[in-house]
Amino acid sequence: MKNVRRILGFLLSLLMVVSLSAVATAEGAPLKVYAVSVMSGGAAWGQYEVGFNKACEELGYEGHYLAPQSFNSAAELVNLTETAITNEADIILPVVVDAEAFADVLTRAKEAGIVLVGIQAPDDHLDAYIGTDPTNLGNAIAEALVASVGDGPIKVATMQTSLTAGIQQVQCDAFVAKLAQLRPDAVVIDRLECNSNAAIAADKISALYLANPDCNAMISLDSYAGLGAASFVEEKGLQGQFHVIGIDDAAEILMCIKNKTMDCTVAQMWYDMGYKSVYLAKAIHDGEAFEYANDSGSSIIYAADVDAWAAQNGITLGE
Amino acid sequence: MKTRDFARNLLARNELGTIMPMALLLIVVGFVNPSFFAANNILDILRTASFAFIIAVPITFLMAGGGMDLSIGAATSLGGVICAFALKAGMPVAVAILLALLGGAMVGVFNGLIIVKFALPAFIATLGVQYAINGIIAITTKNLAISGFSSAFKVLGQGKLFGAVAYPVLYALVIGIAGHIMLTRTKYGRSVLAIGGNAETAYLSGINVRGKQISIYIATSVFAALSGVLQAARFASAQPAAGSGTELTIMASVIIGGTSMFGGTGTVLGSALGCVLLATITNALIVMNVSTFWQNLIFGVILIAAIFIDKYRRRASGGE
Repeated sequence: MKNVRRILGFLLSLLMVVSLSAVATAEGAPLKVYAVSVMSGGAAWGQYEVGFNKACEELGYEGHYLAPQSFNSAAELVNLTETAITNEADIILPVVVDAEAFADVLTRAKEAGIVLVGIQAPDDHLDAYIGTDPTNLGNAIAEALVASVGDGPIKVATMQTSLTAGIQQVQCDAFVAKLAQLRPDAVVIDRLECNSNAAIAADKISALYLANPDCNAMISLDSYAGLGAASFVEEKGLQGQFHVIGIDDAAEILMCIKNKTMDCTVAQMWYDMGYKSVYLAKAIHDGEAFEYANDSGSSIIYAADVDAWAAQNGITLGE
Repeated sequence: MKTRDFARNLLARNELGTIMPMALLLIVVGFVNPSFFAANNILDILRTASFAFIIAVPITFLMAGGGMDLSIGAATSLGGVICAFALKAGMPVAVAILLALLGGAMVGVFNGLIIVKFALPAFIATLGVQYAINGIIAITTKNLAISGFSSAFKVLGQGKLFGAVAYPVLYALVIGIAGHIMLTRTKYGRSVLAIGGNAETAYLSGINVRGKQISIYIATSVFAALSGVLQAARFASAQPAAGSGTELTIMASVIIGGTSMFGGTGTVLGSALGCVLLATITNALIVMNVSTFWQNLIFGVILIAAIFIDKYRRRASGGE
């Protein structure tokens, strides 16, 4: 009997120790944050990842950056979000490229008490979102175009990654609306897509120019579209006559501005987006005040700004 | 009787399957927008086709020999990236290009060994290689384009003969002529067609089947890498996804040009016409101001029509 009591006592003590250590681990465990992004690396998303990792490091969070094998694939993004839920994420930062496709997985994430901060796109299931406001970006591009062309006529084409890229569609619609407001006489000739391939972009704008010789501008919603258009301007010797508005601030884009084959570029603040998204999620998790919509902003870079911008952002320019 | 024989011989030409839809397209686009035929536009189309054709030449050999390769797009990107890294490291242009071609050759050797020696299915094996190469590129470049090249390198892709004909068109022309002679006038070319027709019979007749097959895989990846180098020169930046998605387009060009998917037949001239046809369709739809929303649909319909015309032609010539 004495031995039985001893054994029971030992087992109870063991149970208490195990329970206490489990509680201590749960309280001391860093929050698990999953960024479910549309791609790994790249001029834009690579900077986002750096900002995300920096914020996680500062806050002592366990950061995981997930990306699909196929750029922007809604199915793969949903699967990655599932993975984050399965791995007991505390915070998920999804890019909701397709609201319908994400509806179920985001509902389950909410039910599991996970904080959801969307990147680049708003959605009803999210606690908040941060990104370049697509309408503001479209407006900024329209303003940059009008400033570049001046008082002359505007006949412009737009080029994006794909016509199925929902966020780019919103950006493009905003551009068209703002341009109509700023310059009612401006004509948007066509909406083109380039599949993030500069060669396709150059060939398409070249053909469009042949069909519409009075076309005098192209705005890019994909960085390779701008690169292809700048190549077209150089090959045809159209510097100063054909205006190209680029997007983002990769070294080769900045070089096009320096070489006068591109008028300017609208840089999104990708590092800030990644960095601030984690702090926004922290505020929600800690019960602090927060805004639902958070614009990470954009900046227009002209030739005179290129060197300073490159130095400030650690971008190495070539020949 | 003679007229009928002439018509039958004419219809028997593989290239006619490309020429007929091309002629129809040119008539339509000529009516809608005659400026399509401007010399500058024709040269633009040829330049677009040339990057694909440089790879289509060895792909013609590969498919005529009964093989296939889904890693050519990745090998294209790899060629540009290796060359860019070498140039950034301060190596001379010629050395950088040689390194890129060597990288391509290594991919080809690997493809050849796993498909020919280890008898893995080419479709899935080269798909795996495609993923692996794209992974290597992503790891080494972080999916960032590499730029900042010297003018000596850029001129290879941007330069023009007499200020009109882009250098890549000339490279493609030279490669095409060499490929045509090799396929039609040499023992090597005839061996390739024999292997594609029936590998076992070719082996029994003394042809080094495995050696020939491996050599074609090597050539395919080397020329894919060369195309990547030229694209990097054209845009003054090596893009990690430069060749992404091109594999199916290039193989489609070769098939439309009359090369059998099952091996045994194929011509370099047909592949050239196939590449020009696909480049022309894309260009013509824009020149005719067809909305982008409609372009993919029309592109697909024209491709299917081209295959139908080819099928009818073969039947009419007694080929089927």
